[in-house]
Amino acid sequence: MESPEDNTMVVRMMGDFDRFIAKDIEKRKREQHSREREGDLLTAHGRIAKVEMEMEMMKANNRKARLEADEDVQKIKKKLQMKTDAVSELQCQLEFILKHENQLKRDLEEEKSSKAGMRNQFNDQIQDLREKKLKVDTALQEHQFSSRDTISKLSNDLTRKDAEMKLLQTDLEEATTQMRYQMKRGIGASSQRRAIEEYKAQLVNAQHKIQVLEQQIEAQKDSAVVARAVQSDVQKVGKLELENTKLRQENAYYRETCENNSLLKEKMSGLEAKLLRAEERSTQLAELQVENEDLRARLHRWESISGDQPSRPKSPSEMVQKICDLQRGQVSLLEQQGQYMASAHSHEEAYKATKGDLKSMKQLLVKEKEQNKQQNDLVKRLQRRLLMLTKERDGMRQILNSYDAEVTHSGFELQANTRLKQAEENVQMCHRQIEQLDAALAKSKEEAGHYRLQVKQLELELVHLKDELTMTKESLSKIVPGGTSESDEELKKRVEELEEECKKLAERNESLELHLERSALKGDYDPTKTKIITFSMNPAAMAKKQRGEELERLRAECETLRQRVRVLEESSGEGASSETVANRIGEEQTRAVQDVRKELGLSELRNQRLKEVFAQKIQEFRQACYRLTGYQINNPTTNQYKLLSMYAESPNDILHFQMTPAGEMDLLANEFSSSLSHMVEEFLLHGHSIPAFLSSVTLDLFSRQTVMR
Amino acid sequence: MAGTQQTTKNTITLRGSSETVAEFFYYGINNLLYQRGIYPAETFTRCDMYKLPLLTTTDEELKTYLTSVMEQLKEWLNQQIVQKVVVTISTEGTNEVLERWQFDIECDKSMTHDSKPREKSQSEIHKGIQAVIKQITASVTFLPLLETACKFNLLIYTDKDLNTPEKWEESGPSLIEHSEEVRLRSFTTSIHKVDAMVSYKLMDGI
Repeated sequence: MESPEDNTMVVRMMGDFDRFIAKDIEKRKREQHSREREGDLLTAHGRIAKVEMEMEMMKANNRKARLEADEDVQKIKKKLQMKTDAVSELQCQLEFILKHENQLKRDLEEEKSSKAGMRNQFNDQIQDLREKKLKVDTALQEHQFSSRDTISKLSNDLTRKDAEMKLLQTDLEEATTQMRYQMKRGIGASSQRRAIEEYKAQLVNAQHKIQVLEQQIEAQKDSAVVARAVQSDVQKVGKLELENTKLRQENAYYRETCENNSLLKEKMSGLEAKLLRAEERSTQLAELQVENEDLRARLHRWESISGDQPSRPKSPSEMVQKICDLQRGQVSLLEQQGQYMASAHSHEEAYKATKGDLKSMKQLLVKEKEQNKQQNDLVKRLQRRLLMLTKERDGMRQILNSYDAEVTHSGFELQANTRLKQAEENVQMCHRQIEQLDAALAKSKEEAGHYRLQVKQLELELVHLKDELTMTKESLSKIVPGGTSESDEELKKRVEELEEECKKLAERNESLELHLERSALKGDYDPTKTKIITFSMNPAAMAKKQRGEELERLRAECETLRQRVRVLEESSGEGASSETVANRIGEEQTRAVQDVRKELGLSELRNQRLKEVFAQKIQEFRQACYRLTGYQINNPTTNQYKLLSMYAESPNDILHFQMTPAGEMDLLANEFSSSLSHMVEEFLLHGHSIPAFLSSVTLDLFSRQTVMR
Repeated sequence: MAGTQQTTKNTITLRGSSETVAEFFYYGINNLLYQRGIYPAETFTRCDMYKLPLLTTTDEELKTYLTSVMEQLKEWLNQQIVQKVVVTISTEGTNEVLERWQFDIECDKSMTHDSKPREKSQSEIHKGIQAVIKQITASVTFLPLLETACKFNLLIYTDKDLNTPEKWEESGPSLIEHSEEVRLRSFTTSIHKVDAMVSYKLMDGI
């Protein structure tokens, strides 16, 4: 299809255009037709090719599908076979199960039948049991009836028994009261028995006394007979008494004379001793006289010697005085020596100082000399130079004069004049310098002279000091010939020792100060100046207190818990509540108190019984002693014993013994013992045997009584 | 306790000096108790003092104890009779003293309540106190660890002629055997000079 080239043509010539188009369209239609056909053909060819392709594709797919289908079929066949196998198995199982079911049904039926049988049996049994129960119930009722009867009987018995028990209790109380009464009576009886025993003892004593008294009566009867005989004698007694007094007087006289005699004897012995001493004295006197004479002679000789020499002391006292003076002099000399030594020391020091000065002075002198030499050299040089300068000046002047002579008319006069002036100035300058140097030289010379003077002075001083030193040394050696060096050494030693000690003490002081500082660092303090105080309710104290309280509390708790554990162990778990435990603890404590009281009562009773037994035994023992030894022994106070013989004539005839701390027995004097003086002498003083003495006394008394009888 | 300083900040009186020293002890001891773990850390609260973060106790009992002691100490500082203040740390069980913080107080006895105030600024004093407290805090590093529960006590060394007041009692010095001493810094208010020092028990094996 082609589009028209120019649109304007279309507008203007529609008719032409239509015609043209009609022709063209036909042509074109034909062409189009042919072209369409060609196209259709081409498309048909393409379609055919496509369809063929599709067909091939389909064929291939078909093949593939068939293969797959075959595979599927095979698979399905396999599955089918498996399933058929499974089905056969299942059928087998089914058959088995069916069989089993049948068997089970059979079993069930059997079981059912057996169960029915059992039920029947059980029913029968239940019926039997019911019957039995009925029987038992009846029996029980019967038993109950019977037991009620018995209970009532027993309760009756119990009440009776209670009544009996009460009766018995009352009886018991009565019995106890009776017992107490009896016990009291028993105690009374025992005391009475004791009293009876005492009475018995008294009775025995009394019987004994009666015997003694009877004996005495008999003795008195005898004595009455004797008395009559004696009465006749008594008349003679007056004379005898007179004689007696006379004899006593004589006796007294003799005694006095005897005493005088002894006194005289003593005096005589004293006098003899005196005489002996006097004789000794006299011999000593003689010796002393001899000695005295000898000494006098010596003194005389000495005096005669002293008379020859006036310096010698005339008597020993003077000698002593002189010695004293000498000693004083020595002391003063020692003091002087000390002073001299001090001065010597100071002089030595001064000497050393002056030596040092001298050395320095010498050095200065040498320096000054050198300086002087230098100055001299300088002066010489300067003089030489001066000479040279004067020569030069003369030469210059000559030259100038010659110039003057030559140039009198020329115009150089001014120049020459100026030169001359300059030269003159130079010369003046030189002069001035020379003068200055001269002045310096003089000054240095003066200084040197001054130094020389000083040196001379110092030398003089030195010599003087040396002289002094030698003098002091000489004087010292004169004063203490020989002792000085030793004392010096001693003093030096002592000084050294003291220095050492001083050093040691300083060190010690230092160390002590260090120690003190250290201890102050540690918190030590001087209790005389400082005191330490702290707040009483400080945290440490409070903690301590709390701790103490807690400890106390815990202890108390521990104690209660221990008791509780004990109670629990005893009761082995029953009634473990705290109240019951506390009650138990209380009970236990009261029980313990009761036990203790009981024990106390028992021990008191035992004590009392023991006392009774002891009293009895003691009584027995005393009795036995009395019977065996014949003496009744009493102990009125500690360490004192009173012995009363069985055969004593009166109850006052007591032998009184005392025990010494060493354990020995001493007889104390009384009337009775003084009447036994011969026995005392024989057995106690000579024999040292108390038993022998006592037995002799017994024998004596016994013999007397038997004689009296 | 805090803040009752003298009116002029560049001079100090005896009263002001005592106040400052007592204040130092209050905060210093509080800090010490915290640092050494004598009281549990949760009973302390933070406060800023001497330009340092310090801890003071909130335990009422301890607070009343410390304030009452400090009041008394202030009075004695005014009387110029205090020689030493000692903080002892001892075990609760055996009462064995393990540490002993000693503060020697030197007092210028020429200063009286009537004399002229001394020239010393508060900031200068506070600087000194700050250094001491810092050193106390730092010394925890070398002190042996307190392994058991401990309690502390305050001892005050005074002149002998002081009458012991009520609620106070005389005590021993609570010395430590086998101790090691370390001198710490000191500060001065120009009237009171405080030398700090700690001695502690040498543990076995150290």
